Amino acid sequence: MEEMHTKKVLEPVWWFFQIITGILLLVLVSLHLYVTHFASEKALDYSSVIGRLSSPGFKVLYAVLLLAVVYHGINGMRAIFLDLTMSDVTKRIVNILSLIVALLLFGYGVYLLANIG
Amino acid sequence: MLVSVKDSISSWFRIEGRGISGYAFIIHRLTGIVLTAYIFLHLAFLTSLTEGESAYTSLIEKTVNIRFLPFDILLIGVTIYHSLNGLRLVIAEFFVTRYHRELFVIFIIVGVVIWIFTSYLLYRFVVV
Amino acid sequence: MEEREVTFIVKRFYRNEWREDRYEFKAVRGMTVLDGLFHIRDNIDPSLSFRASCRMGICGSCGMVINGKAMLACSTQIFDLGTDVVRIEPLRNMEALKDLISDFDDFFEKHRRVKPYLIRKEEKSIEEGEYIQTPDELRKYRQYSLCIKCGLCYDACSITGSNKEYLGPAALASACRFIMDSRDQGEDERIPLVSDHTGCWRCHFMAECSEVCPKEVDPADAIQKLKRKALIYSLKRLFRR
Ligand code: HEM
Ligand code: SF4
Ligand code: SF4
Ligand code: FES
Repeated sequence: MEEMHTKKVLEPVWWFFQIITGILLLVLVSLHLYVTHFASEKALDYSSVIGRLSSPGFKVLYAVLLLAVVYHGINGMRAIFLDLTMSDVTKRIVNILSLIVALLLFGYGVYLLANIG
Repeated sequence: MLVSVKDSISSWFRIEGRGISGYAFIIHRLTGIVLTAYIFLHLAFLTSLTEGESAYTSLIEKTVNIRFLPFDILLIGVTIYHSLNGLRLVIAEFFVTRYHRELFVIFIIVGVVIWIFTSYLLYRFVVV
Repeated sequence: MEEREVTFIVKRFYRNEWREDRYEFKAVRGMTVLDGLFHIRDNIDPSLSFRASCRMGICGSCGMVINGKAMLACSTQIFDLGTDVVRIEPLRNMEALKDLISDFDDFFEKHRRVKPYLIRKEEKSIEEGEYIQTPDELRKYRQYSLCIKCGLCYDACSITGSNKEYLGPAALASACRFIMDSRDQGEDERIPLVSDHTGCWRCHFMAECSEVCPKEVDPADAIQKLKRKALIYSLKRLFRR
Protein backbone atom coordinates (compact mmCIF):
# COMPACT_ATOMS: atom_id res chain seq x y z
CA MET A 1 0.00 0.00 0.00
CA GLU A 2 1.18 3.53 -0.80
CA GLU A 3 2.37 5.58 2.14
CA MET A 4 1.13 9.13 2.29
CA HIS A 5 4.36 11.01 2.99
CA THR A 6 4.35 14.26 4.89
CA LYS A 7 5.24 16.15 1.72
CA LYS A 8 2.28 14.71 -0.11
CA VAL A 9 0.06 15.43 2.87
CA LEU A 10 1.15 19.06 2.75
CA GLU A 11 0.66 19.61 -0.98
CA PRO A 12 -3.17 19.92 -0.63
CA VAL A 13 -2.63 22.31 2.28
CA TRP A 14 -0.45 24.61 0.12
CA TRP A 15 -3.27 24.66 -2.43
CA PHE A 16 -5.78 25.45 0.33
CA PHE A 17 -3.65 28.37 1.53
CA GLN A 18 -3.41 29.63 -2.07
CA ILE A 19 -7.22 29.80 -2.16
CA ILE A 20 -7.50 31.38 1.31
CA THR A 21 -4.82 34.00 0.63
CA GLY A 22 -6.50 34.70 -2.72
CA ILE A 23 -9.77 35.58 -1.00
CA LEU A 24 -7.91 37.54 1.66
CA LEU A 25 -6.04 39.50 -1.01
CA LEU A 26 -9.23 40.40 -2.83
CA VAL A 27 -10.35 42.20 0.35
CA LEU A 28 -7.01 43.57 1.55
CA VAL A 29 -5.72 44.76 -1.84
CA SER A 30 -9.00 46.60 -2.48
CA LEU A 31 -8.75 48.20 0.94
CA HIS A 32 -5.09 49.10 0.40
CA LEU A 33 -5.78 50.71 -2.98
CA TYR A 34 -8.77 52.58 -1.58
CA VAL A 35 -6.81 53.98 1.32
CA THR A 36 -3.73 54.97 -0.68
CA HIS A 37 -5.28 56.29 -3.88
CA PHE A 38 -9.01 56.81 -3.73
CA ALA A 39 -9.94 57.96 -0.22
CA SER A 40 -8.10 61.26 -0.16
CA GLU A 41 -5.96 63.31 -2.53
CA LYS A 42 -3.30 63.66 0.16
CA ALA A 43 -3.15 59.94 0.91
CA LEU A 44 0.40 59.56 -0.37
CA ASP A 45 1.85 62.64 1.32
CA TYR A 46 4.75 61.80 3.61
CA SER A 47 2.86 62.79 6.74
CA SER A 48 -0.22 60.76 5.80
CA VAL A 49 1.83 57.65 5.08
CA ILE A 50 3.81 57.94 8.28
CA GLY A 51 0.62 58.69 10.16
CA ARG A 52 -1.01 55.51 8.89
CA LEU A 53 2.04 53.39 9.51
CA SER A 54 2.29 54.65 13.08
CA SER A 55 -1.07 53.23 14.01
CA PRO A 56 -0.96 49.67 15.37
CA GLY A 57 -4.17 48.81 13.48
CA PHE A 58 -2.58 49.60 10.14
CA LYS A 59 0.63 47.85 11.09
CA VAL A 60 -1.26 44.63 11.78
CA LEU A 61 -3.31 45.02 8.62
CA TYR A 62 -0.18 45.52 6.53
CA ALA A 63 1.57 42.60 8.19
CA VAL A 64 -1.34 40.35 7.22
CA LEU A 65 -1.37 41.76 3.69
CA LEU A 66 2.38 41.21 3.43
CA LEU A 67 2.14 37.62 4.58
CA ALA A 68 -0.75 36.87 2.25
CA VAL A 69 0.77 38.51 -0.80
CA VAL A 70 4.20 36.93 -0.33
CA TYR A 71 2.73 33.49 0.22
CA HIS A 72 0.29 33.78 -2.66
CA GLY A 73 2.75 35.26 -5.15
CA ILE A 74 5.65 32.92 -4.39
CA ASN A 75 3.51 29.79 -4.10
CA GLY A 76 1.89 30.82 -7.40
CA MET A 77 5.33 31.11 -9.02
CA ARG A 78 6.29 27.76 -7.50
CA ALA A 79 3.24 26.21 -9.16
CA ILE A 80 4.28 27.69 -12.48
CA PHE A 81 7.81 26.26 -12.18
CA LEU A 82 6.49 22.85 -11.15
CA ASP A 83 4.41 22.83 -14.34
CA LEU A 84 7.68 22.24 -16.19
CA THR A 85 9.03 18.74 -16.65
CA MET A 86 11.75 18.36 -14.03
CA SER A 87 13.70 15.81 -12.05
CA ASP A 88 13.07 15.26 -8.33
CA VAL A 89 16.27 17.14 -7.53
CA THR A 90 15.15 20.19 -9.49
CA LYS A 91 11.77 20.00 -7.75
CA ARG A 92 13.52 20.15 -4.39
CA ILE A 93 15.55 23.12 -5.55
CA VAL A 94 12.39 24.92 -6.67
CA ASN A 95 10.73 24.21 -3.32
CA ILE A 96 13.72 25.34 -1.28
CA LEU A 97 14.33 28.42 -3.41
CA SER A 98 10.66 29.39 -3.12
CA LEU A 99 10.86 29.14 0.64
CA ILE A 100 14.03 31.24 0.76
CA VAL A 101 12.67 33.97 -1.51
CA ALA A 102 9.41 34.06 0.46
CA LEU A 103 11.24 34.37 3.77
CA LEU A 104 13.50 37.12 2.41
CA LEU A 105 10.57 39.09 1.05
CA PHE A 106 8.57 38.67 4.22
CA GLY A 107 11.57 39.51 6.38
CA TYR A 108 12.28 42.68 4.41
CA GLY A 109 8.63 43.70 4.66
CA VAL A 110 8.66 43.22 8.42
CA TYR A 111 11.89 45.21 8.63
CA LEU A 112 10.18 48.06 6.74
CA LEU A 113 7.10 47.90 8.98
CA ALA A 114 9.29 48.01 12.07
CA ASN A 115 11.34 50.96 10.84
CA ILE A 116 8.66 53.21 9.40
CA GLY A 117 6.43 55.37 11.54
CA MET B 1 11.66 12.75 -21.85
CA LEU B 2 12.21 16.42 -21.16
CA VAL B 3 10.26 19.31 -22.63
CA SER B 4 12.28 22.44 -23.26
CA VAL B 5 11.31 25.58 -21.38
CA LYS B 6 10.55 27.26 -24.69
CA ASP B 7 8.12 24.52 -25.73
CA SER B 8 6.53 24.58 -22.27
CA ILE B 9 5.94 28.30 -22.45
CA SER B 10 4.45 28.01 -25.92
CA SER B 11 2.20 25.24 -24.59
CA TRP B 12 0.93 27.46 -21.74
CA PHE B 13 0.36 30.44 -23.95
CA ARG B 14 -0.87 28.71 -27.09
CA ILE B 15 -3.87 30.58 -28.42
CA GLU B 16 -4.76 28.37 -31.39
CA GLY B 17 -7.78 26.15 -30.77
CA ARG B 18 -8.51 27.61 -27.35
CA GLY B 19 -11.75 29.03 -26.06
CA ILE B 20 -12.74 31.44 -23.30
CA SER B 21 -11.36 29.31 -20.46
CA GLY B 22 -8.05 28.93 -22.27
CA TYR B 23 -7.65 32.68 -22.70
CA ALA B 24 -8.68 33.19 -19.07
CA PHE B 25 -5.85 30.88 -17.97
CA ILE B 26 -3.28 32.59 -20.19
CA ILE B 27 -4.13 36.06 -18.88
CA HIS B 28 -4.32 34.82 -15.28
CA ARG B 29 -0.84 33.36 -15.51
CA LEU B 30 0.62 36.49 -17.13
CA THR B 31 -1.05 38.84 -14.63
CA GLY B 32 0.05 36.58 -11.74
CA ILE B 33 3.67 36.88 -12.86
CA VAL B 34 3.40 40.65 -13.33
CA LEU B 35 1.84 41.11 -9.87
CA THR B 36 4.48 38.95 -8.20
CA ALA B 37 7.22 40.97 -9.89
CA TYR B 38 5.48 44.08 -8.61
CA ILE B 39 5.77 42.91 -4.97
CA PHE B 40 9.55 43.26 -5.32
CA LEU B 41 9.27 46.69 -6.91
CA HIS B 42 6.75 47.86 -4.32
CA LEU B 43 8.91 46.83 -1.35
CA ALA B 44 11.94 48.43 -3.00
CA PHE B 45 10.07 51.72 -3.34
CA LEU B 46 8.99 51.61 0.29
CA THR B 47 12.65 51.61 1.31
CA SER B 48 12.63 55.36 0.67
CA LEU B 49 10.28 55.78 3.65
CA THR B 50 13.09 54.71 5.97
CA GLU B 51 15.37 57.35 4.45
CA GLY B 52 13.41 60.38 5.53
CA GLU B 53 10.90 62.79 4.06
CA SER B 54 12.93 64.24 1.18
CA ALA B 55 13.88 60.83 -0.26
CA TYR B 56 10.26 59.72 -0.16
CA THR B 57 8.82 62.94 -1.54
CA SER B 58 11.22 63.09 -4.47
CA LEU B 59 10.39 59.48 -5.35
CA ILE B 60 6.67 60.22 -5.20
CA GLU B 61 7.14 63.31 -7.35
CA LYS B 62 8.94 61.18 -9.92
CA THR B 63 6.47 58.29 -9.95
CA VAL B 64 3.07 59.79 -9.19
CA ASN B 65 2.64 61.99 -12.23
CA ILE B 66 0.98 62.04 -15.60
CA ARG B 67 3.85 60.24 -17.34
CA PHE B 68 3.39 57.14 -15.21
CA LEU B 69 -0.41 57.27 -15.33
CA PRO B 70 -0.64 54.74 -18.22
CA PHE B 71 1.41 52.27 -16.18
CA ASP B 72 -0.77 52.87 -13.10
CA ILE B 73 -3.88 52.25 -15.17
CA LEU B 74 -2.38 49.12 -16.68
CA LEU B 75 -1.33 47.82 -13.27
CA ILE B 76 -4.74 48.38 -11.77
CA GLY B 77 -6.28 46.61 -14.76
CA VAL B 78 -3.95 43.67 -14.20
CA THR B 79 -4.93 43.58 -10.52
CA ILE B 80 -8.65 43.77 -11.27
CA TYR B 81 -8.43 40.99 -13.84
CA HIS B 82 -6.37 38.69 -11.64
CA SER B 83 -8.56 39.31 -8.60
CA LEU B 84 -11.88 38.71 -10.32
CA ASN B 85 -10.66 35.74 -12.34
CA GLY B 86 -8.99 34.50 -9.16
CA LEU B 87 -12.36 34.68 -7.44
CA ARG B 88 -13.83 32.68 -10.32
CA LEU B 89 -11.08 30.08 -9.87
CA VAL B 90 -11.75 29.93 -6.13
CA ILE B 91 -15.41 29.28 -6.88
CA ALA B 92 -14.61 26.64 -9.50
CA GLU B 93 -11.83 24.87 -7.61
CA PHE B 94 -13.42 25.00 -4.19
CA PHE B 95 -17.18 25.06 -4.76
CA VAL B 96 -18.75 24.42 -8.19
CA THR B 97 -17.31 24.36 -11.68
CA ARG B 98 -20.61 24.50 -13.49
CA TYR B 99 -21.04 28.27 -13.89
CA HIS B 100 -17.46 29.17 -14.73
CA ARG B 101 -18.22 30.42 -18.27
CA GLU B 102 -21.10 32.63 -17.13
CA LEU B 103 -18.99 33.92 -14.25
CA PHE B 104 -16.20 34.79 -16.66
CA VAL B 105 -18.50 36.94 -18.79
CA ILE B 106 -20.02 38.61 -15.72
CA PHE B 107 -16.62 39.27 -14.14
CA ILE B 108 -15.23 40.72 -17.36
CA ILE B 109 -18.13 43.16 -17.60
CA VAL B 110 -17.93 44.06 -13.90
CA GLY B 111 -14.14 44.29 -14.18
CA VAL B 112 -14.21 46.69 -17.13
CA VAL B 113 -16.67 48.94 -15.30
CA ILE B 114 -14.47 48.96 -12.18
CA TRP B 115 -11.39 49.51 -14.33
CA ILE B 116 -12.84 52.56 -16.07
CA PHE B 117 -14.04 54.01 -12.78
CA THR B 118 -10.76 53.43 -10.91
CA SER B 119 -8.77 54.74 -13.89
CA TYR B 120 -10.75 57.96 -13.66
CA LEU B 121 -10.09 58.15 -9.91
CA LEU B 122 -6.37 57.55 -10.55
CA TYR B 123 -6.36 60.27 -13.18
CA ARG B 124 -7.88 62.69 -10.70
CA PHE B 125 -5.45 61.56 -8.01
CA VAL B 126 -2.44 62.12 -10.23
CA VAL B 127 -3.50 65.33 -11.95
CA VAL B 128 -4.87 67.22 -8.96
CA MET C 1 -26.70 17.06 -53.00
CA GLU C 2 -24.54 19.98 -51.91
CA GLU C 3 -20.97 19.60 -53.11
CA ARG C 4 -17.94 21.74 -52.43
CA GLU C 5 -14.27 21.72 -53.36
CA VAL C 6 -12.25 21.40 -50.15
CA THR C 7 -8.54 21.34 -49.36
CA PHE C 8 -7.06 19.12 -46.67
CA ILE C 9 -3.62 20.18 -45.50
CA VAL C 10 -2.20 17.25 -43.58
CA LYS C 11 0.88 17.53 -41.39
CA ARG C 12 2.62 14.19 -41.86
CA PHE C 13 5.39 12.44 -40.01
CA TYR C 14 7.50 9.69 -41.49
CA ARG C 15 10.97 8.46 -40.53
CA ASN C 16 11.73 11.42 -38.27
CA GLU C 17 10.69 13.98 -40.82
CA TRP C 18 7.72 16.31 -40.92
CA ARG C 19 6.09 17.45 -44.11
CA GLU C 20 2.83 18.92 -45.25
CA ASP C 21 0.68 17.58 -48.07
CA ARG C 22 -2.27 19.28 -49.71
CA TYR C 23 -5.17 17.29 -51.03
CA GLU C 24 -8.05 18.75 -52.98
CA PHE C 25 -11.29 16.91 -53.55
CA LYS C 26 -15.05 17.35 -53.74
CA ALA C 27 -16.78 16.91 -50.42
CA VAL C 28 -20.51 16.36 -50.10
CA ARG C 29 -22.76 17.45 -47.25
CA GLY C 30 -22.67 14.97 -44.40
CA MET C 31 -19.10 13.85 -45.05
CA THR C 32 -16.96 13.70 -41.92
CA VAL C 33 -13.28 14.58 -41.75
CA LEU C 34 -12.63 10.85 -41.37
CA ASP C 35 -14.62 10.18 -44.57
CA GLY C 36 -12.41 12.77 -46.23
CA LEU C 37 -9.26 11.00 -45.05
CA PHE C 38 -10.59 7.65 -46.31
CA HIS C 39 -11.39 9.32 -49.62
CA ILE C 40 -7.82 10.61 -49.88
CA ARG C 41 -6.34 7.25 -48.97
CA ASP C 42 -8.54 5.37 -51.43
CA ASN C 43 -8.36 7.80 -54.34
CA ILE C 44 -5.41 10.16 -54.04
CA ASP C 45 -2.61 8.95 -51.75
CA PRO C 46 -2.59 5.37 -50.42
CA SER C 47 0.39 6.15 -48.16
CA LEU C 48 -1.62 8.40 -45.82
CA SER C 49 -1.91 6.79 -42.38
CA PHE C 50 -4.44 7.41 -39.64
CA ARG C 51 -6.27 5.44 -36.97
CA ALA C 52 -9.98 4.71 -36.94
CA SER C 53 -12.22 1.83 -36.05
CA CYS C 54 -15.82 2.47 -35.09
CA ARG C 55 -16.53 5.56 -37.21
CA MET C 56 -19.21 6.51 -34.69
CA GLY C 57 -17.42 8.28 -31.87
CA ILE C 58 -17.17 5.36 -29.51
CA CYS C 59 -13.74 3.73 -29.88
CA GLY C 60 -11.65 6.85 -29.41
CA SER C 61 -9.15 5.98 -32.17
CA CYS C 62 -9.52 8.93 -34.50
CA GLY C 63 -8.50 11.84 -32.28
CA MET C 64 -6.51 14.43 -34.20
CA VAL C 65 -5.99 18.17 -34.36
CA ILE C 66 -8.38 19.75 -36.85
CA ASN C 67 -7.91 23.46 -37.51
CA GLY C 68 -6.03 23.87 -34.24
CA LYS C 69 -8.45 22.01 -32.01
CA ALA C 70 -8.43 18.36 -30.93
CA MET C 71 -11.47 16.53 -32.29
CA LEU C 72 -12.69 13.12 -33.29
CA ALA C 73 -12.41 12.99 -37.09
CA CYS C 74 -15.41 10.68 -37.34
CA SER C 75 -17.66 13.01 -35.36
CA THR C 76 -16.75 16.19 -37.20
CA GLN C 77 -18.51 17.07 -40.42
CA ILE C 78 -16.42 18.94 -42.97
CA PHE C 79 -19.17 21.46 -43.73
CA ASP C 80 -19.54 22.28 -40.05
CA LEU C 81 -15.97 23.58 -39.84
CA GLY C 82 -16.92 26.86 -41.46
CA THR C 83 -13.98 26.79 -43.87
CA ASP C 84 -13.01 24.89 -47.00
CA VAL C 85 -9.37 24.66 -45.94
CA VAL C 86 -8.94 21.98 -43.30
CA ARG C 87 -5.59 21.71 -41.52
CA ILE C 88 -5.00 18.37 -39.86
CA GLU C 89 -2.15 17.28 -37.60
CA PRO C 90 -1.59 14.48 -35.09
CA LEU C 91 -2.29 15.07 -31.38
CA ARG C 92 0.31 17.52 -30.10
CA ASN C 93 1.18 16.25 -26.64
CA MET C 94 2.14 12.78 -27.81
CA GLU C 95 4.94 11.55 -30.02
CA ALA C 96 3.90 11.07 -33.62
CA LEU C 97 4.49 7.55 -34.96
CA LYS C 98 3.45 7.97 -38.54
CA ASP C 99 1.34 10.72 -40.12
CA LEU C 100 -1.75 11.15 -37.95
CA ILE C 101 -1.01 8.17 -35.72
CA SER C 102 0.22 9.11 -32.25
CA ASP C 103 1.92 7.08 -29.56
CA PHE C 104 -0.59 6.56 -26.75
CA ASP C 105 1.82 4.57 -24.51
CA ASP C 106 2.39 7.34 -21.92
CA PHE C 107 -1.28 8.20 -21.92
CA PHE C 108 -2.35 4.62 -21.19
CA GLU C 109 0.47 4.09 -18.72
CA LYS C 110 -0.77 7.08 -16.71
CA HIS C 111 -4.26 5.69 -16.82
CA ARG C 112 -2.94 2.38 -15.51
CA ARG C 113 -1.06 4.19 -12.75
CA VAL C 114 -4.23 5.49 -11.04
CA LYS C 115 -5.48 1.89 -10.60
CA PRO C 116 -8.62 2.14 -12.71
CA TYR C 117 -10.49 -0.74 -11.13
CA LEU C 118 -12.51 -1.34 -7.97
CA ILE C 119 -10.32 -1.89 -4.95
CA ARG C 120 -11.93 -3.79 -2.06
CA LYS C 121 -10.50 -4.26 1.40
CA GLU C 122 -12.32 -7.58 1.39
CA GLU C 123 -13.99 -9.15 -1.60
CA LYS C 124 -17.46 -10.58 -1.30
CA SER C 125 -17.79 -14.18 -2.36
CA ILE C 126 -19.90 -14.88 -5.42
CA GLU C 127 -22.59 -16.51 -3.29
CA GLU C 128 -23.07 -13.27 -1.38
CA GLY C 129 -24.14 -11.55 -4.60
CA GLU C 130 -23.20 -8.27 -6.23
CA TYR C 131 -22.33 -4.94 -4.63
CA ILE C 132 -25.62 -3.07 -4.57
CA GLN C 133 -25.67 0.59 -5.55
CA THR C 134 -28.50 3.13 -5.54
CA PRO C 135 -29.19 5.32 -8.62
CA ASP C 136 -27.92 8.31 -6.64
CA GLU C 137 -24.66 6.55 -5.90
CA LEU C 138 -24.33 5.73 -9.58
CA ARG C 139 -24.96 9.34 -10.62
CA LYS C 140 -22.00 10.49 -8.49
CA TYR C 141 -19.48 8.99 -10.92
CA ARG C 142 -21.38 7.86 -14.03
CA GLN C 143 -20.37 10.86 -16.11
CA TYR C 144 -16.68 10.22 -15.42
CA SER C 145 -17.03 6.61 -16.47
CA LEU C 146 -18.04 7.59 -20.01
CA CYS C 147 -14.44 8.34 -21.04
CA ILE C 148 -13.36 6.58 -24.26
CA LYS C 149 -9.63 7.32 -23.83
CA CYS C 150 -9.46 9.28 -27.04
CA GLY C 151 -6.73 11.59 -25.76
CA LEU C 152 -8.37 14.82 -26.92
CA CYS C 153 -8.22 16.32 -23.43
CA TYR C 154 -4.56 15.32 -23.25
CA ASP C 155 -3.96 17.50 -26.29
CA ALA C 156 -6.04 20.43 -25.03
CA CYS C 157 -4.39 20.72 -21.63
CA SER C 158 -1.48 23.14 -21.62
CA ILE C 159 0.10 21.41 -18.63
CA THR C 160 0.34 17.99 -20.27
CA GLY C 161 2.21 19.92 -22.95
CA SER C 162 4.77 21.28 -20.50
CA ASN C 163 5.04 18.53 -17.90
CA LYS C 164 5.55 15.02 -19.24
CA GLU C 165 4.97 13.58 -15.76
CA TYR C 166 1.58 15.20 -15.28
CA LEU C 167 -1.07 12.48 -15.14
CA GLY C 168 -3.39 14.55 -17.30
CA PRO C 169 -7.14 15.05 -17.39
CA ALA C 170 -8.25 11.58 -18.51
CA ALA C 171 -6.26 9.60 -15.92
CA LEU C 172 -7.30 11.98 -13.13
CA ALA C 173 -10.95 11.83 -14.19
CA SER C 174 -10.62 8.08 -14.10
CA ALA C 175 -9.19 8.22 -10.58
CA CYS C 176 -12.12 10.41 -9.58
CA ARG C 177 -14.51 7.93 -11.18
CA PHE C 178 -13.32 5.22 -8.78
CA ILE C 179 -12.92 7.43 -5.74
CA MET C 180 -16.54 8.59 -6.10
CA ASP C 181 -17.77 5.01 -6.49
CA SER C 182 -19.55 3.79 -3.35
CA ARG C 183 -18.27 0.24 -3.95
CA ASP C 184 -14.63 1.30 -4.02
CA GLN C 185 -12.42 1.21 -0.92
CA GLY C 186 -9.14 2.18 -2.51
CA GLU C 187 -8.88 5.74 -1.16
CA ASP C 188 -5.71 4.99 0.80
CA GLU C 189 -3.98 3.79 -2.34
CA ARG C 190 -5.35 6.15 -4.92
CA ILE C 191 -5.39 9.53 -3.20
CA PRO C 192 -1.63 9.56 -2.53
CA LEU C 193 -1.12 8.68 -6.20
CA VAL C 194 -3.09 11.61 -7.53
CA SER C 195 -2.12 14.10 -4.84
CA ASP C 196 1.55 14.71 -5.55
CA HIS C 197 3.49 17.06 -7.83
CA THR C 198 2.41 15.16 -10.92
CA GLY C 199 -1.24 14.82 -9.93
CA CYS C 200 -4.17 17.12 -9.44
CA TRP C 201 -2.06 20.06 -8.17
CA ARG C 202 -0.77 20.60 -11.69
CA CYS C 203 -4.29 21.44 -12.82
CA HIS C 204 -5.07 25.17 -12.84
CA PHE C 205 -8.62 24.82 -14.03
CA MET C 206 -8.00 25.93 -17.55
CA ALA C 207 -10.99 23.70 -18.41
CA GLU C 208 -9.97 23.30 -22.03
CA CYS C 209 -10.00 19.53 -21.45
CA SER C 210 -13.73 19.68 -20.82
CA GLU C 211 -14.24 21.87 -23.87
CA VAL C 212 -12.83 19.29 -26.28
CA CYS C 213 -14.13 16.12 -24.59
CA PRO C 214 -16.50 14.38 -27.02
CA LYS C 215 -18.23 12.43 -24.24
CA GLU C 216 -18.87 15.33 -21.88
CA VAL C 217 -16.88 13.62 -19.18
CA ASP C 218 -15.91 17.06 -17.82
CA PRO C 219 -12.48 16.05 -16.50
CA ALA C 220 -11.88 19.61 -15.24
CA ASP C 221 -14.78 19.17 -12.84
CA ALA C 222 -13.54 15.72 -11.78
CA ILE C 223 -10.09 17.12 -10.96
CA GLN C 224 -11.46 19.91 -8.76
CA LYS C 225 -13.44 17.26 -6.85
CA LEU C 226 -10.22 15.27 -6.47
CA LYS C 227 -8.46 18.31 -5.02
CA ARG C 228 -11.12 18.68 -2.35
CA LYS C 229 -11.08 14.94 -1.61
CA ALA C 230 -7.29 15.05 -1.32
CA LEU C 231 -7.45 18.05 1.03
CA ILE C 232 -9.96 16.37 3.34
CA TYR C 233 -7.95 13.17 3.26
CA SER C 234 -4.76 15.06 4.16
CA LEU C 235 -6.36 17.02 6.96
CA LYS C 236 -7.64 13.77 8.47
CA ARG C 237 -4.12 12.38 8.19
CA LEU C 238 -2.53 15.42 9.79
CA PHE C 239 -4.85 15.45 12.76
CA ARG C 240 -4.88 11.74 13.37
CA ARG C 241 -1.15 11.73 14.05
C1 HEM D 1 -6.56 40.01 -5.16
C2 HEM D 1 -7.12 38.84 -5.19
C3 HEM D 1 -6.47 37.60 -5.74
C4 HEM D 1 -7.15 36.46 -5.92
C5 HEM D 1 -8.62 36.21 -5.59
C6 HEM D 1 -6.24 35.50 -6.48
C7 HEM D 1 -6.54 34.21 -6.77
C8 HEM D 1 -5.68 33.29 -7.30
C9 HEM D 1 -5.92 31.89 -7.41
C10 HEM D 1 -7.16 31.16 -6.97
C11 HEM D 1 -4.85 31.33 -7.97
C12 HEM D 1 -4.65 29.86 -8.24
C13 HEM D 1 -4.94 29.49 -9.62
C14 HEM D 1 -4.53 28.07 -9.81
O1 HEM D 1 -4.91 27.20 -9.01
O2 HEM D 1 -3.81 27.84 -10.76
C15 HEM D 1 -3.92 32.36 -8.23
C16 HEM D 1 -2.72 32.18 -8.83
C17 HEM D 1 -1.70 33.08 -8.81
N1 HEM D 1 -1.75 34.34 -8.23
FE1 HEM D 1 -3.41 35.20 -7.46
N2 HEM D 1 -5.04 36.08 -6.63
C18 HEM D 1 -5.13 37.36 -6.18
C19 HEM D 1 -4.12 38.28 -6.13
C20 HEM D 1 -2.82 38.02 -6.48
C21 HEM D 1 -1.75 38.91 -6.29
C22 HEM D 1 -1.87 40.30 -5.66
C23 HEM D 1 -0.65 38.29 -6.78
C24 HEM D 1 0.77 38.75 -6.83
C25 HEM D 1 1.36 39.35 -5.91
C26 HEM D 1 -1.01 37.02 -7.28
C27 HEM D 1 -0.15 36.12 -7.88
C28 HEM D 1 -0.51 34.89 -8.35
C29 HEM D 1 0.34 33.97 -9.06
C30 HEM D 1 1.80 34.17 -9.42
C31 HEM D 1 -0.42 32.85 -9.36
C32 HEM D 1 0.01 31.61 -10.13
C33 HEM D 1 -0.52 31.69 -11.50
C34 HEM D 1 -0.59 30.37 -12.18
O3 HEM D 1 -0.68 29.32 -11.53
O4 HEM D 1 -0.57 30.39 -13.40
N3 HEM D 1 -2.35 36.88 -7.08
N4 HEM D 1 -4.44 33.57 -7.79
S1 SF4 E 1 -8.69 21.91 -16.25
FE1 SF4 E 1 -6.76 21.05 -15.55
S2 SF4 E 1 -6.54 19.15 -16.66
FE2 SF4 E 1 -8.12 20.33 -17.72
S3 SF4 E 1 -7.01 21.42 -19.33
FE3 SF4 E 1 -7.05 22.70 -17.53
S4 SF4 E 1 -5.15 22.34 -16.42
FE4 SF4 E 1 -5.48 20.67 -17.88
S1 SF4 F 1 -11.95 12.54 -20.82
FE1 SF4 F 1 -13.02 12.93 -22.75
S2 SF4 F 1 -11.45 13.83 -24.06
FE2 SF4 F 1 -10.38 12.85 -22.38
S3 SF4 F 1 -9.85 10.82 -23.12
FE3 SF4 F 1 -11.81 10.66 -22.03
S4 SF4 F 1 -13.37 10.90 -23.61
FE4 SF4 F 1 -11.45 11.62 -24.49
S1 FES G 1 -13.36 6.11 -35.32
FE1 FES G 1 -13.99 5.46 -33.33
S2 FES G 1 -14.16 7.38 -32.33
FE2 FES G 1 -13.75 8.00 -34.37
